[in-house]
Amino acid sequence: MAFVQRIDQVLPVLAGRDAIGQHTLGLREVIRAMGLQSDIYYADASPDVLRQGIPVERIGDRESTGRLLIYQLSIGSRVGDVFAHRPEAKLVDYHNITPADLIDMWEPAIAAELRWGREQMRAMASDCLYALADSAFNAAELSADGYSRSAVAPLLIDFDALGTQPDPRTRGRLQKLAKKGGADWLFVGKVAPHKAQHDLVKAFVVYRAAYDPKARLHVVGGSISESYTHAVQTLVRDFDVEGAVEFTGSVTRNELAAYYSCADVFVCLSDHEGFCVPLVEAMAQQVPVVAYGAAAVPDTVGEAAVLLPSKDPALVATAVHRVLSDEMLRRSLTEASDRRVEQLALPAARSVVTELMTDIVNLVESGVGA
Amino acid sequence: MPNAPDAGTSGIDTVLDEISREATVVGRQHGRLLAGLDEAFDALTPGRGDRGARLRASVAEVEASAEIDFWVPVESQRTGGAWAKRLMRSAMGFYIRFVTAQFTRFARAVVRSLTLMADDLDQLRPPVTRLEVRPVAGAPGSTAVPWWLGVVTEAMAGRVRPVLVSGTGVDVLGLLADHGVRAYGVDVSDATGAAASGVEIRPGTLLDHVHSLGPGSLAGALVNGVVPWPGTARTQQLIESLAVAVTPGGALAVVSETPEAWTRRVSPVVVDLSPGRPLHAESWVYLFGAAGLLDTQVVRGGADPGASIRAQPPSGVDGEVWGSLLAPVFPGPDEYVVLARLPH
Repeated sequence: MAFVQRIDQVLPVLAGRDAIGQHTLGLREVIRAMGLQSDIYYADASPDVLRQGIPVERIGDRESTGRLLIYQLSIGSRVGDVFAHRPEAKLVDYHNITPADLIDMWEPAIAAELRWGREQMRAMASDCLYALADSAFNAAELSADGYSRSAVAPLLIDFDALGTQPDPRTRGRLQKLAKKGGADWLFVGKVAPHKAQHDLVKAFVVYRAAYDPKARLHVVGGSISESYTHAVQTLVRDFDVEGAVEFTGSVTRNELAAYYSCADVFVCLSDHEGFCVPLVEAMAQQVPVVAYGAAAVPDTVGEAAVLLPSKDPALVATAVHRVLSDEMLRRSLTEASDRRVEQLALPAARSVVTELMTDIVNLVESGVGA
Repeated sequence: MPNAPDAGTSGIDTVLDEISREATVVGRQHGRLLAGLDEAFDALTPGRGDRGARLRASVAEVEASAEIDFWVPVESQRTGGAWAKRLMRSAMGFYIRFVTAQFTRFARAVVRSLTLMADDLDQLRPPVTRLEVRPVAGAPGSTAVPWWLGVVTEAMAGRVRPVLVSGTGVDVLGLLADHGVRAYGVDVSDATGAAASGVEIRPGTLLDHVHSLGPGSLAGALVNGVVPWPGTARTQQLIESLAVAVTPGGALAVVSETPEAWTRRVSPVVVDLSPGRPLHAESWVYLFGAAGLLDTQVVRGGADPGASIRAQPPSGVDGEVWGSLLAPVFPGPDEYVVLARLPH
């Protein structure tokens, strides 16, 4: 191949507020800082970033010579097929595809898209020169699906930016509640079967019964499944914790910062996470983390969380109680969090990704995979 | 079983041990509450349903979203904002209605065609249930009921999450379903026949399928007979992967021929040149223990080729002595089930 002149990215949806969207925009800046041209092609975009990219229908407007394409892969999409049929040298940046079986029972249509994504991922393997993954867990999945060259490239997200402006109204309300006593549990993420908010509610109910009858649980995030959300809310009602559990729905960045600033503990009982940005946000905001060690969660938190081997509600409740009552444990978690957040912070991530992208460009220019 | 925390964290390991001990006490104190929580959520969880029900649920969802609300909200926190928005809504109302009406018409057309498709698929499906068409077990030409069915159904029936069953064949899958096990199979070959009989078979190899599952996504797993052959490393890998895929408290079972029964059944050449052979039940017990499973039990069953010989000792020979002499040659039942539970 001739000298690489530009590296463009392709993805189904460019959304300014989601992790993949922010990473894609960050990666474009890294590539441009390397002296190469870079654009983003999308099938759809949120209004705030509409002008940051180009509709994927126009991907063929540019010369394919000297051009690399990166596909941001997280779900099945026709954009994946467009990417697969392009003549340029290709890379995949893999953000994990949730196992369809975890969602099938509640949302068969989403499960079908996830299966489609997995099929596309496997089909692209032989044609992709290199693959990037945002966790070692994801890199292992790439390898299992036939990607011969892959590396862990951290997400390019500024975790520190979150805490700068907590929404005063939300913070005021949460502080007022905190004055009544009781711990504030927090989980951030879409209300979805694989994020297992029902297990969170179970553990919270046991925690209130065993340790802290005034505790509150804040479940922050929009829903991907009405039926699942309804079931979790019914569980909340059936066990008389309706006044103590808040489902916020989608919130702004500043409102989210307010929730982190008022949380005593972040509890994550997801059955599956490909990375889990909220874990890092919690660590960056000095909120101690108790998590079920599933999928990429151990990779993401390192030693900076109490990682549980099961989701037994009694075990989770006891772990949260221990974290909240053991000052020394909390301090050691905070110190470990600082170290982990520094490793994942934007400057360090940029440096790793720049090095990786330089290696990939050298690989392509040396004719490997031609 | 989830991924373990990083090594070199002996401090946190000690804390986890203490948490675990205290949690046992808490669990005992609030046992009824814990059981109530599980039961309550299980009751709220939808069954997997047949494909027809899932398609109709999806169509209903599309239908519910087909109507587009063009009546843009006008509330505003700024002075005069609501008035300005109302003005804009009035001015643009005609155009917005024009566009949304077309979207709605399109969505309705999609719903209509999907409904027709669902109707056609329903007609293609067998009109009677599997229970009604399958012959009664034991009748001429019927499916033989495996001796271990009761052992497995006792451990796996009535769970909300599905149970992965490998190597049993379609008929046994159906029997398990009839006994309340939400069983599905995995097979590399075409599963059309299975679908026709109302049994779910997913395509793929056992190991690949298990790797694709999320942690805790199964209520249990039953592996019948096929596992001795992949070799020790892959057998261990399979058990470890299943231990991750099965939910805490779920069950894992292996049904196998004994090595002795296998060597009796196949020729010496096959025995000598095979890459593997069935494991002794004790080896499965060891592998299950290494994967962290609890309450492992071995149940022996199947045919007992030595039984009739042992029952008739030659005249003048003590029955007990006769039995002990024959035991190494005819070691008893030729199959076993090893059953264990995933820790909470």
